[in-house]
Amino acid sequence: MDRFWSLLFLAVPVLGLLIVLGAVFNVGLQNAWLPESIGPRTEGIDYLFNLFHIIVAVVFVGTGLLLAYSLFRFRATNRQVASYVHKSIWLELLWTIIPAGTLVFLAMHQLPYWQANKEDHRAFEPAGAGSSDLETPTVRVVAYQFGWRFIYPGLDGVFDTRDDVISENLLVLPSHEEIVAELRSLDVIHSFAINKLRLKQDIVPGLSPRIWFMITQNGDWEINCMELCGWGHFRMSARLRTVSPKDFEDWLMEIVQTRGY
Amino acid sequence: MKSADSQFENRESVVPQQPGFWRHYVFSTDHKVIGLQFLFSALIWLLMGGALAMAIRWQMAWPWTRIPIIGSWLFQSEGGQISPEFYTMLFTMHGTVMIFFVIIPLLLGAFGNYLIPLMIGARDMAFPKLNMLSYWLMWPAFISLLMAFFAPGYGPGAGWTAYPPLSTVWEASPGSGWAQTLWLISLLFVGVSSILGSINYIATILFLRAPGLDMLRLPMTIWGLLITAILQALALPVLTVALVMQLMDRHLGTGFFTPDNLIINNFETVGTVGQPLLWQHLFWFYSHPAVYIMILPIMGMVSDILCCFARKPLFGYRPMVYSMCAIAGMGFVVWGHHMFVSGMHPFMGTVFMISTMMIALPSSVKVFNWLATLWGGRIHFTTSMLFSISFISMFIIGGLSGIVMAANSIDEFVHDTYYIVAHFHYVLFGGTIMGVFSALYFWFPKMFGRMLNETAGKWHFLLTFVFLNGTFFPMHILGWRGFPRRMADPYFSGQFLDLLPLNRMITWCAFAMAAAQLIFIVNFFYSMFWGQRAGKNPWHANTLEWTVDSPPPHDNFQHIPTITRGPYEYSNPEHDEDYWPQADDSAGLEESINTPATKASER
Amino acid sequence: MFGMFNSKSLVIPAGFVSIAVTALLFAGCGSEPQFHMNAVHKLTLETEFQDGTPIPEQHIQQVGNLLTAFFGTPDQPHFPAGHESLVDPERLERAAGPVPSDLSSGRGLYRKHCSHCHGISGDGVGPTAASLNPYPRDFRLGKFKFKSTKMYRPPTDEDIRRVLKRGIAGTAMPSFALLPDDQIDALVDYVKYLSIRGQVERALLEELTNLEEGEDLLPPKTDANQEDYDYALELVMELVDPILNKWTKAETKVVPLNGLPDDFGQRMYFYSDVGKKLFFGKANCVQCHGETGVGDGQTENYDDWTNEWLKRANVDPYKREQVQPFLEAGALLPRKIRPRNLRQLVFRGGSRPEDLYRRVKAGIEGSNMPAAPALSDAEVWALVAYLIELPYETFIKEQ
Repeated sequence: MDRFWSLLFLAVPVLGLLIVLGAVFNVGLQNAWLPESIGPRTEGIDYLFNLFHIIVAVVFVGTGLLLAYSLFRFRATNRQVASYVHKSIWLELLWTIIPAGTLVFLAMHQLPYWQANKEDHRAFEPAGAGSSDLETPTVRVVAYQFGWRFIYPGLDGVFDTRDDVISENLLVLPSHEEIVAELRSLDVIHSFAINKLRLKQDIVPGLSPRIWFMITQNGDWEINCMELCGWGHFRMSARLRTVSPKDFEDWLMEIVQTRGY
Repeated sequence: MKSADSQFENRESVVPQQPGFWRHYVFSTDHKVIGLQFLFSALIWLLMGGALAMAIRWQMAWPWTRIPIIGSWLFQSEGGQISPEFYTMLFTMHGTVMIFFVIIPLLLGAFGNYLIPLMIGARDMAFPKLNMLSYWLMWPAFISLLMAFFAPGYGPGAGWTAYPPLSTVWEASPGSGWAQTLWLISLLFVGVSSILGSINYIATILFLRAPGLDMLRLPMTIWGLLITAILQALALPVLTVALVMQLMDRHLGTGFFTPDNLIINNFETVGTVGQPLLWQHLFWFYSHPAVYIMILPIMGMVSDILCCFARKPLFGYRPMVYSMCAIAGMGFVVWGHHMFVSGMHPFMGTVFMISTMMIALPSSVKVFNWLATLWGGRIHFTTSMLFSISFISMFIIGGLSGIVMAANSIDEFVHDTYYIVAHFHYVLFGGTIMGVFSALYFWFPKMFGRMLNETAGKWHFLLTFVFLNGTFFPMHILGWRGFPRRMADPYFSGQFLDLLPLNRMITWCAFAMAAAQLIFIVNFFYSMFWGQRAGKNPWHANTLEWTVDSPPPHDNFQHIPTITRGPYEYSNPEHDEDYWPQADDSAGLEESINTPATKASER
Repeated sequence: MFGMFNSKSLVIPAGFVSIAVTALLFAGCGSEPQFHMNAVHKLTLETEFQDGTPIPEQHIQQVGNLLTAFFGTPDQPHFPAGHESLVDPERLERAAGPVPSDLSSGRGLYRKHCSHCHGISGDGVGPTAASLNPYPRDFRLGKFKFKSTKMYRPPTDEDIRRVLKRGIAGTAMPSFALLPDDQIDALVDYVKYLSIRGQVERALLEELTNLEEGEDLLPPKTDANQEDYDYALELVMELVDPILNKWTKAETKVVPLNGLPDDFGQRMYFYSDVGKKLFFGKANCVQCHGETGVGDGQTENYDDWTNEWLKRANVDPYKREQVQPFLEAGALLPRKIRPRNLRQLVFRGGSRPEDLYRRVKAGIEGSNMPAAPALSDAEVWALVAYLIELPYETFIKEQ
């Protein structure tokens, strides 16, 4: 029976690893790893995601095997007496320094990606800078219970003028162009999330955070609200449509013209 | 310290009167009775929280179909189909119940109360009446949370995190009315109860230890409880204040958390200039340390149980203590990792990312020390030991996924997906609840004088362990795909429809896991009355609680023992037995020779 | 091994208990949900015409039987024969019934997406309804606010489809744009079905109050009374047919977009100034929408769905004892409506000029927004121009 229990705990790393490998290499599990990518923004995040999972998998399998092996080898039916060992300063140092080094490496290694996605951009407002220093966003996203309103500045490129173009629950964007979006909420906290861009930004009422991204494919994608915003949270999704820049201009012009401007 | 001891010498002369039924079982100041009261209330709420989880899983697997039992009872006219706000109530209440009514009362209320005086050689808590008060303050909390279920809107629906303005504006959601107020009141009582309890624990552990029991001779269980109590005493007032502020926002027209000019459900907030981020900071300033409150005591208990059944001293006692202290200290500076995508300054994201990465270090030190404790031992696979080993195994998974999420770029992707759900269920179910089972199987003989049935226990373990992994491991896969949490119908847009079969598999495993708990319930009550008699020290353990009768008498010890060695003297070559109790003078140890456990080990 | 002793006997009962409880879990005794009778309307009629004397149960039963004969049940709906062009039976079947466990089949759509607000019967009192502001629409009056047709005319399919796809910003009605088109079509037909069914129900209930003592709406069919039965059925069909015909002819009652000035786009400022004068003058928008357009002019009214029983049964909304019976019958607590805040950038019925034109020209059915027969087409367009301009007009709110 003791051997059975050791095998049971051996099954954890073995099965766990098999499932992860199956997911990554699409064996037995379809579409179980990261969703498809539609923009350059995902490159860094996907790289980190894979890197972290490789390191974590090594530790997971290593400790899991060690645990199962020691359960198997030191089972009571196999030994008469336990060894009387209290401590080992060298071992303690070893398993403090190696994880510490790994963690510091991981922390430092992923810093640039966070900076690239969050800070290093002219749309980001550094402390002390006035909002006038910022460029005009491509689109202003207004979230409310339970929908999305997308406001384009229109032909004059200035918001809050009467040629603003308003689109409800449909965000049309040019592909291959960098998009800066300003997010606002009318009521509660929402979160603007595009799964296939690995993008997520909470919209706390009173704050107007900015995001930037680029989509390199034309097609229809989903925008989800990813922060609980009430009973209809799950309904709060909108269509994201990327078209070629020329088609985008046409679409904008068409709306502008039907509005009579 | 001297004075405290002499206080006890005085109390020894006072022979307690035999109290009546009410004083003995209900309004008792005895820490053991209070501990058991906490234990039973928490286990009942565990059933409640589990039932809520089953309803959640039903909706994830067969959305909008008739939920068994609830459907024919609550939503008869709708064909038994639940409404979305009912679903938001389900996960809100599941989280609230499990955290505030199950895990924290189980760890600190039940095991803390029961074990602290026994393990440190004290007759009772430092403040027995305060102790009683801390239990009875749970009852207003229980009652108001139960009332919240029956408030309009089926109960609070703002998540257990209760983010404003959803939670502060009455109109924001069907559950944001009286239900939310009752929820806040309930948590306020829990908070006050826990503050009283933790002060009591700190005082007891610091001042009522038996002579010779230095801080570095304390069992890890007591270390875990002490550090947890300190964490709670420091962090809970912040939450309590935040709860009061939210109550004031809701009822007195203040605006701590509610910005001006919001239009929520056509209600306009006027003249309030608050910021919801403030609540997030205050809430997580408590609730992140709360994560460690929910794991540190179990880490301590598991350390003790591992040593006992590996018959081997704890490997690296001091590093274990230091790493616990480090987890507690650093636990106060990592709360911002819950807010990576909240819109706070990205630089703060960097700071919190680094501190979060670093808090993985003491946890990993603990895991390696546990592994080294097992290495070279003589491992007896009792049910309690199996649960403890599974704690390590599961905690590794939960901890490692924590490192992945600590990277804020990755968190931006997995935030609010099932990856998070998988992570904290591995830590809180795979870790804490499995540890609680381990501790229950371990200390049940002490509590009730009888052994839990081992065969049933092993079936219970096997089924729980298998289906626990069947339930929560696939949630990682959901998370890798970005499957969102807290959505009543994530398949709404068709985006995640291909994950439906996986969700059904998870749900089946969850049902099977729930069914496996029935074995435990039957075993628990059967063994309580008809189980094998345990004797004083069925496990041949070293710590002080095993030197007294099972169950221990009122005032615990006939004579306060004098402690001459640490708690982990297992398999010491200088001693004949493979265990060496902390106190030499315990009169009754020889009685344990005839226990079934001893016989079994002789076979 | 430590503390190990065999007691297999314990495992067996434990196993039995597990199986029993699991079986109980899945036993969920299922009963098919039914359309709820329009109890509010029944109570209204009793109060209005019969001084509170209840309508005989037997008559209510007959109405129910007729409705089931015409329209079926929530799980098995059908539609009066000969009107397939109005409501496609195939679409009806896709939208009706319980949500299936095979989610990709696209069935049970109404209960999946709509019924928790609009109710199984389309009565607007689903479990979520009470906390929403405005309340979800009760389809049974056959009134729809945001449509292209004239006042008192049913909407076209395209109108309902547009609302489903856009959602109604400023209310709890979400957008269903992510659903496939065929599912939207099925829902459109089901909404029409519920609305027509509700209207027929109301007509039949009203007819009950005209019956003489001892008379039946539709007597039980026997060989002896074949003629009576046919005659009664004919009378019933006389009530039903106009409702169906109205819906059939909806497309022909669209408000035409007449008189759009050629230079409308180029001379917005000019037209907007004209519109502003109309707003305060001839059109008298200011009376309800207020001087600043934030909708604070007239805030004491109720909409038609509330007035339906409030006015007809002469209930004082401030007297709890008068309101209470209606609440128990399924009405929602009366809530006053506010004229639209015109400065919120987004209009519920759509912000395109043609939408605004139709709102002004034909009014908004069910609300207090009247049609504007006195205004010429050019004046309406001028008002539209002003409405487009209004959200960007700066103002100082007078206290």
